[in-house]
Amino acid sequence: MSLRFYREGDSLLHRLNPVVKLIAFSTLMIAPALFLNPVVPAIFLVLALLLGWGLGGLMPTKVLRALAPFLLLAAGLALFNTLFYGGPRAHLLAHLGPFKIWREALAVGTSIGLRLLCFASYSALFVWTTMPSQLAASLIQQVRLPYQLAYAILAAYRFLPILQAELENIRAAHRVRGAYAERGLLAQWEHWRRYGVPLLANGIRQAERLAIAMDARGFGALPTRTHYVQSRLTTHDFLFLASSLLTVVAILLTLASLGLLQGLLAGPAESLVGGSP
Amino acid sequence: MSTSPIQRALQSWTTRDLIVTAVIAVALGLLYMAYSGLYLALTPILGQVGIMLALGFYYLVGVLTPYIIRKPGTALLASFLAALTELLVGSPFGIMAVWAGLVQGLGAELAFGIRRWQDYRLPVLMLAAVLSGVFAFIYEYFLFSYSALALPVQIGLLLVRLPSALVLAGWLGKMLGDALARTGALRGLAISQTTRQP
Repeated sequence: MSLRFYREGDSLLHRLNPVVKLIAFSTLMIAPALFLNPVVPAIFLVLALLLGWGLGGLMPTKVLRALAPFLLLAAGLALFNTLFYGGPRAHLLAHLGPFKIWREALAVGTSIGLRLLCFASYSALFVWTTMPSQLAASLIQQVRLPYQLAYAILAAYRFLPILQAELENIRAAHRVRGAYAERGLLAQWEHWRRYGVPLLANGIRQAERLAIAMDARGFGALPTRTHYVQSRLTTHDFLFLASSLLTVVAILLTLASLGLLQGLLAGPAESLVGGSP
Repeated sequence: MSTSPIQRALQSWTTRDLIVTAVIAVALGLLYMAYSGLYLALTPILGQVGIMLALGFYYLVGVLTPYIIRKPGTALLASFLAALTELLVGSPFGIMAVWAGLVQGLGAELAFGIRRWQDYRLPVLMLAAVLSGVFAFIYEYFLFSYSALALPVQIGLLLVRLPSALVLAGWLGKMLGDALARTGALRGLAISQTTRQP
């Protein structure tokens, strides 16, 4: 079921308002994307581990294990960005076949590879500590998303186990007629076409019945409604958001004062790097 | 609470439109999670540019759903919901995917908006798919600092995804929508009302 990634808990991260958490984590995640320096994502990655450990009760080893599937992609991304680096370069490190490895390229490549791990770790922390129903409640009550939308999401989540059971039915129906999945790309495509259409069609039929049931109970008749699950903003939320933003600023200021950000800003300022030796 | 612009836009939606949108989005979101695993596994084989050929599938939800529902906002909503599903069922791309879903949905929505949400023929579906791809490229451009790459590689990253968007989102969206309409499950929804007239 969809909740299997959520880990029960009562830590500070669990109790945070989901939307506040999403904004704070997005900020922490995106901050390293503004810099091409490998030190920045490395620091934010360590911060994610500490955050999960200190405020979420999640062992760093657990977060690191969740990052394992990403290691290959991160390494590939780092290599790709190193080989096809197009920015200013000054220090030649090595020759790799037809490619020249520049120190600047290696730094940028490493930075982008680490960046991916950074994104993945904050995502994992978010999913582990957020209950979908709490997120929906918060989207309605704090973001003022119309409740019709958020209820549609929640209703659709109820379909996950139904869709799974449906898939089993379709598979059984194919088996009983002697149709088995074959190997090969075309056979796979045929296989998915045979399963996908009835699966979606059945889901849509179920949706129709659900919609009638909801309409019969007057769903959507009024612009507002009362809520069983209450979602509030507490001082903890404001403190967490404020300290996340302050942490980002503090880290960047410290790095800047150490001279580690110089000439490695991404984006429009990047052209400035060309001037430095 | 005063009525927000979103709420006013929702007034033309029936409960059924909403739930069907959500179900398609969640079903595809689930599929995307499985697909993301495949994507991670295939990237080292196909390379960072080559894997863009698989990217079009992520734009499918923003084409198929509006093709069926045909209301303003469907592409944006479906794309965002599919991405939210991906996040909540533990997709490797998580929070990154949520914002990507929003951005891709905006791209598709723009295509339908240009035709005032009246035209759902194949060329418009293809335009929606391509704009999804272009918007996603802009998002990735910042997230992964494509600006640091050599210019031909940057162009490659944009262009390679476009045929994939045309086939795996534009064409597949139409095929799937029509196939679903043939099952009769979409009776009463906008897609069936228009296809019934010759």
